[in-house]
Amino acid sequence: MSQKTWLGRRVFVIEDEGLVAMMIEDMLEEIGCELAGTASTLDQALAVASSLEADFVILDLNLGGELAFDVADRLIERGMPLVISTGYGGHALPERLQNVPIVAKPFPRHELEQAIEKALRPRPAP
Amino acid sequence: MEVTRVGLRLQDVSTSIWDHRPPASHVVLFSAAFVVAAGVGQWLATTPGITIIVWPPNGVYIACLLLNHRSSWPWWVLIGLLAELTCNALWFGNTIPLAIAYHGANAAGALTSAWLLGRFFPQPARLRTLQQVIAFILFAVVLAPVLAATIGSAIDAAIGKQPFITTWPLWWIGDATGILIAAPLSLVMIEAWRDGMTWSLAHAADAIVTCIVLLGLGILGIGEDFSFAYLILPALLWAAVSFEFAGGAVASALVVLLVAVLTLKGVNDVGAESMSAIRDHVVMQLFLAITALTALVVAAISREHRQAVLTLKVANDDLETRVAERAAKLRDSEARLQLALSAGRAGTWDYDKAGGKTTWSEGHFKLLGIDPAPEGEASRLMWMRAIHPEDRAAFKAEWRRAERTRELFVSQFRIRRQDNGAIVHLHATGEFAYDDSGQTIRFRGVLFDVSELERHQQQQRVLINELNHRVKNTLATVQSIAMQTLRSSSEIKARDEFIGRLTTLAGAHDLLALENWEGASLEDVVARAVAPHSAGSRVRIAAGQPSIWMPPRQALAITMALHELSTNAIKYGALSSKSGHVHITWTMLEDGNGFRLIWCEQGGPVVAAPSRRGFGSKLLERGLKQDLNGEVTIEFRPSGVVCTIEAPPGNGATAIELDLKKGA
Repeated sequence: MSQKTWLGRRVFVIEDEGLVAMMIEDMLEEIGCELAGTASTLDQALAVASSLEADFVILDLNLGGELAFDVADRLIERGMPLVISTGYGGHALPERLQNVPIVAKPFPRHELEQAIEKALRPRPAP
Repeated sequence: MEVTRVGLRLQDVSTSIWDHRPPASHVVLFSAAFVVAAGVGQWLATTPGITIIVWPPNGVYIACLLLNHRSSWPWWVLIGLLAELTCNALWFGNTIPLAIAYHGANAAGALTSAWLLGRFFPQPARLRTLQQVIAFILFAVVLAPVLAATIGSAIDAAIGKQPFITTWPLWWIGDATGILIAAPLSLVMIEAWRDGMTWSLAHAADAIVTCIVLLGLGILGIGEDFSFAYLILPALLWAAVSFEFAGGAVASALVVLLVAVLTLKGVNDVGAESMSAIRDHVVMQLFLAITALTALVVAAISREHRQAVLTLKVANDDLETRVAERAAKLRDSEARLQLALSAGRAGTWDYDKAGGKTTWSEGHFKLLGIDPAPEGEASRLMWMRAIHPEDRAAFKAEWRRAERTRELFVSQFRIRRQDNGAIVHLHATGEFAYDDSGQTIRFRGVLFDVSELERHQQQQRVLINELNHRVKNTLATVQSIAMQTLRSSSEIKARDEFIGRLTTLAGAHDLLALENWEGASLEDVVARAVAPHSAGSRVRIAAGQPSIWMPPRQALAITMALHELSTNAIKYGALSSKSGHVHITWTMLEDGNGFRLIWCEQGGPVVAAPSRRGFGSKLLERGLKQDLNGEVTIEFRPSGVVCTIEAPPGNGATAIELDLKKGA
């Protein structure tokens, strides 16, 4: 955590709850990230998943009562670093998302920092 | 005169003798039999110079005594005397005192032998066993005539009729032969009379034919000098084998009659050559004795043999009945089992490894959606094919584990039904059987459809996850509101404390959701609460703490308590200095109800009791005390804060539940 790898990075936030989205944006701003864009519904998210431009994405898995696994899959496919924010505990995730860093809502700022750091960590070549 | 005196004396001795006086019909019967028997003897006594050749009355006498209770014996002796006096008047012409003396000799023999035979012939006396026959020969055929002959011969010698030595052998053998023939005949006749006889046509025909053959062979064989007497043997043996004692006795009697008839003529021819005549009569008597003896022994053997066969047959019938009963019970039990299996939608399997055969119950086939095979024949392959590919490895691993460890095989897996492709969750429990060398010989078990249960559990999990998701989204919204509301720099500290508490609460929710909101283990709760501070072993949880299960409310309360204690320790306590640390221990309470957790700070700055209770202390001492339904005490010791939390088992969590959770 000594190296703040997230400083100045561009982040796309996908979150359906307005107040929660606002808080996340505030937190990101406080820790020195730049907001690349937001989406609040599954349709929007699916529409931009393949094209959005950002250094990493924060994705809420439940968008208006629908699970956003497809969005996650598309982003992972693109090699887009991803942090999942969820109200479900980590135990509810399918196996293919087990390695994605998670923040369980509600989360303090330092947990968000840890998750972003993990997401941005260079992955070993497959 | 004589008679009256004897009668009176007996009456004086015991009134019970009077009570045992025989019925008139018996008296008549006995007297008649006695006189007839004496008549037959007289009929045979045709040799000049020999008074009597065969003396059957003593056989009738002994049979009568055996058939009657001892208390009535004096009566029979009296009646026997009267009968003998009658015979004397009819044929013998002896003086009355001499006749009485002769009767004394006969009665002595009969009474002695009947007394000795008593224990072999329990009432009502019946000829049944070989043992009885042997006893009869010893006491009645050998011993009784010895007594009668000795007394009789002595009388004869005393009155100068004949020398003792001449009379004795003839008397003995005549008496013995008579008893041998007449006693068994009397016994079987009385028995037939008492029990009634049912004759089948075949039996009656057999009897008649046997009689005719016996008479025919007798006439041929006995002839004039008994040269071919052995000819009667086949018929005699046949009678004894076929009709047992009755056959033997009647056949012997017939032979006696035959001999009587045939020898009448023979004696006339022999004339007065007394030596030769005596020899002939000895031969005749021996012949009669041997005949009767053979018939009796063969009858006894035949009877015992038949009895043994009958006993065996009864035992066999009994066994067969019991086998049939057992089989019926087994069928019942099998039917009940089948009912239970079908009611529970269960199936059973039996894998005979040695025989390489697998059989399934009908229910098993149905569970897999396969038409039942005849005899339930199945194979391992059919099983493996049915199991969902994702579950096959686990199934095989459990098979290997159970087989190796000899423990119960327990596996839950999915199968795809062959008829409609539906996925069914099955729960299998099985047991391996091994031979003496430890090789697996069998694998048997039972299979249940647990799809319904599985579906319910799945639904429950989904609901709980959904609930948790909503709660946490709400908490996140609250967090957001707080962050937006508390923005000024003076409010940052309060905001962070608030968010810390909020996220701790949310974390506890996560933990509870993992356990379907049934509760959580103290171990997990503590580990999760101190995780952010445990780096560098600043917070130490003592090893080997007991496993304790808590209901949700207690789990939340403990989580919040530990959060407050940690926060306080970081700000002012042991965790605020580099050297300080915290020890956490817990124990079950003495009576096994609830637990005591101790938070003990050490090595930090010297502690002074705060002048004012902060929110943290209040939360612990007031709020959590209520949620825990227990006691919370905080001591501000100079060496460090010590917090003791005592909690009874939470609402709804019984000791049994705790045990179950611990076991699980």
